[in-house]
Amino acid sequence: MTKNKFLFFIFFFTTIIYGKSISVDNNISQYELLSQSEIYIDNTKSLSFEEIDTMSIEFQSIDKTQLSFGYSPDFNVWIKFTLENRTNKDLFKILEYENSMTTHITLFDTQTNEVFKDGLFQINKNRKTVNPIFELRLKPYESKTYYLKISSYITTMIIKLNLWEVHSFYREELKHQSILELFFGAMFILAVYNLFVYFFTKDKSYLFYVLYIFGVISHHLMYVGIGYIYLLKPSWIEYIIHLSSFIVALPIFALAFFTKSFISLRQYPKLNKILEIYLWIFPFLVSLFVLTDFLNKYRNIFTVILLLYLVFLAIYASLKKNRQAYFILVGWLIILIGGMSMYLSSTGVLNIYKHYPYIVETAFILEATLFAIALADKINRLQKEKENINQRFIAQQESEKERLTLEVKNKTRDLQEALNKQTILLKELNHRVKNNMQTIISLLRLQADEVDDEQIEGIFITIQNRINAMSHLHELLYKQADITHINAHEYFASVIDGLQNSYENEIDIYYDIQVELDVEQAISCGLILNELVVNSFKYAFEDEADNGIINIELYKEKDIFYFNISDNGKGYNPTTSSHSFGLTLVNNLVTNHLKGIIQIDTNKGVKTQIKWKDNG
Amino acid sequence: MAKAKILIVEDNPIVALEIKSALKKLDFDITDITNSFKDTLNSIIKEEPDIIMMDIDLGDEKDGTQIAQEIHKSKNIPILYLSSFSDDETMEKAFDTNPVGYLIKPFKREELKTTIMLALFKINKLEYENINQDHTYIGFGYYFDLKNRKLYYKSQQIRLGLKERQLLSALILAQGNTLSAEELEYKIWIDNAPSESSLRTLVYRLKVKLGCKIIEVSYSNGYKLTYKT
Repeated sequence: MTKNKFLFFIFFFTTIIYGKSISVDNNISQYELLSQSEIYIDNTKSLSFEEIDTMSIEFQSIDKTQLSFGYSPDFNVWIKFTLENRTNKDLFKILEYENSMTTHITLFDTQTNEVFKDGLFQINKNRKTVNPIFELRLKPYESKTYYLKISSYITTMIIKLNLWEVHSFYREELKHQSILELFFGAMFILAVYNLFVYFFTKDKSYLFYVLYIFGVISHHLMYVGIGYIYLLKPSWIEYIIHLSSFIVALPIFALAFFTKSFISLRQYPKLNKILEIYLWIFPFLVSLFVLTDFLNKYRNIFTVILLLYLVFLAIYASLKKNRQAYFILVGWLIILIGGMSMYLSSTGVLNIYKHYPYIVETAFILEATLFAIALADKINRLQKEKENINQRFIAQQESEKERLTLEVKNKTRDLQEALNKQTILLKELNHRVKNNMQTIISLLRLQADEVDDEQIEGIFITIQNRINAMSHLHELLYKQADITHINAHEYFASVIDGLQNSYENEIDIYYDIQVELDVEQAISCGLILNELVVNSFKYAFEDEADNGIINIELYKEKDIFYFNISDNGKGYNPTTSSHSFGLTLVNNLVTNHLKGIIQIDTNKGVKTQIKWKDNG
Repeated sequence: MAKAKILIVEDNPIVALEIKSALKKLDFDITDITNSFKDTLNSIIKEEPDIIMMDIDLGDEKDGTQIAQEIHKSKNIPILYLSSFSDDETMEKAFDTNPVGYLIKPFKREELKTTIMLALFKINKLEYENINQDHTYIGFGYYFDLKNRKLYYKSQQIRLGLKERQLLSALILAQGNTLSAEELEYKIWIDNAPSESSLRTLVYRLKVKLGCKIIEVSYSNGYKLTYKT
């Protein structure tokens, strides 16, 4: 890409000087040849060495140390120079053509008519130097004229000629290659290292970064010429050069993906969309240059556009205070400084390049290192963010747990309080009910105390027993948690106990009761029990020596309650019954309240059978 | 023998009147009817009753059990509670004051009569017959005739229900050892397993009848007689 900086088309015409020769000796290690040579541009591309040498062709002087003709110029360039050995010894010199990309270079020795060929498409098999070289030999005091025929296919044609003292040349070449190898080694290590980081983090930014580095490496291998000498077979070179637009595009393509993922371009949807679309069509645009040589001059235009867009993105994101974009921007700055100093060097404003020709390589290494640091920074930050989120999440969970615990505690306390209140209220209510019953009974008994009539007194006792039967139910409800159902056994036991205390007699009562009753049924059953037992007490047994027995059973079979009371007394005549009120009460309770059936057998003692259907 | 003098502490005037009427019929002297701590103390000093019928909930600053405690600080007058409370907490509080009886409202006059008679026996206000040597002494002045399953306070018989008699004889035969609820249920109901609370209800009825802590209850272990003298 920095190649573009060298694009200069220089046309100039100066006074033609014939027979100008360059004196050389062994004391000066390097001569710059081009400015003392002459040039002829053969637009026909058909002239041969003989024709050039014999025809009086007007060569023009150059006065420049470097000539650039751009991509695949459509002409042959002829350079003519004359060397004069001023010493009395044989001189061995090396002519360096200081550009590895020029495809065809041919040297003609006018004295010996020898022809030497070099250049990218015809690399000398023995050459291990980066640039094409030709070995020149001058006899003592000999003056010799040489012609160079230069043409370039596809690649750019840049002409720069140096004449070296042999040892100096190889020393410099060795130094140059070592430094380049150092550069490639460093880049390669960065790429491999970050490739492994990618395997571990699965962060795509790393992958694109690695692709970018490999792209830079492969491009630079071509650009500085190392690749042609050591890595590629000569037969491949032409093929590879055809793909040069790809080689230039690849690192930028990878860089685009790297930038996109690294600065999280998604947060700028419009810019992201533009980049995505461009990246989709980019490979097709680049392919155009492979299919035809016609547009070679412009083959890097789309890559340059992409590059400019990436620079714009970095600036834009930086202005939006995107931390990653700062790194990218600094990276671009480094490359820009490198490029600028090269450009300034080549225009002669600055002289850095002469003393330190590895500005580009240094810039690349700095940029690659910076990006590696930036990636590490990004991963670090992401991890920190994740940790923060985790911590926040944990803290949130903790506080939520605490809140819930507190809420449960409060609710439990409220419920407990409500329950306690309810319990106290219920106790108070039952207490009052029982007190009221006591008052009712007391009133009855006070009234009864005023009566001397035994029959009336009996009536009062009967009423008392009925009220008592109900108050026993209250007593039981008061003592248990469930206030809708009652254990019939306990209830009957207390009613019977009360009756036995009320009528002091020796009648045995046997009962077998194993059901639960709902409260409504229980009140009726208690009253029925009271009436029937009292009837037996009063009328079944004439004297207490009768060994009277009363049997009571209450059980349930398939939703039907069976309630049987029988005694072994004398029975009674149902038609002339004098204890009809109690029976009326029982009948009424069975048919109207329990919705059941009653059957009384008075033949052998009294046997009362009641059954009803449980609706609850 | 002089008529026993009875003080009635009762805040419900109708109930108080009825108790008075019932006791008069049994030929006791009613010294006074009071419904507060202060009046009760004054009346005791003035009338020196032999026995006090004590309501518990008086709507006064002090309840019946607290008044009983205060009285016992200076005078040893037997207390007979008559209350509609039948919860364990109140009854335990009442039993702590060593009453001669505990009646639950609504009460029956027969109960009132036997309890008062028992109380008078306990304070030796009534003569009693020779104690039958065959009867088993079970503490607090109570004797039980295991053969006929009859309970006596000294020589006075106390009526018990069938199941109450079974419970008491089972506990006496255990001779102070603890019987589990299951064992007692089996002895009393045999095949017909009763509901959970049946045994507790039975024990409660017996305790109320005896008016003392003759049965020790431990809900985790079971029941036993205390045999206190």
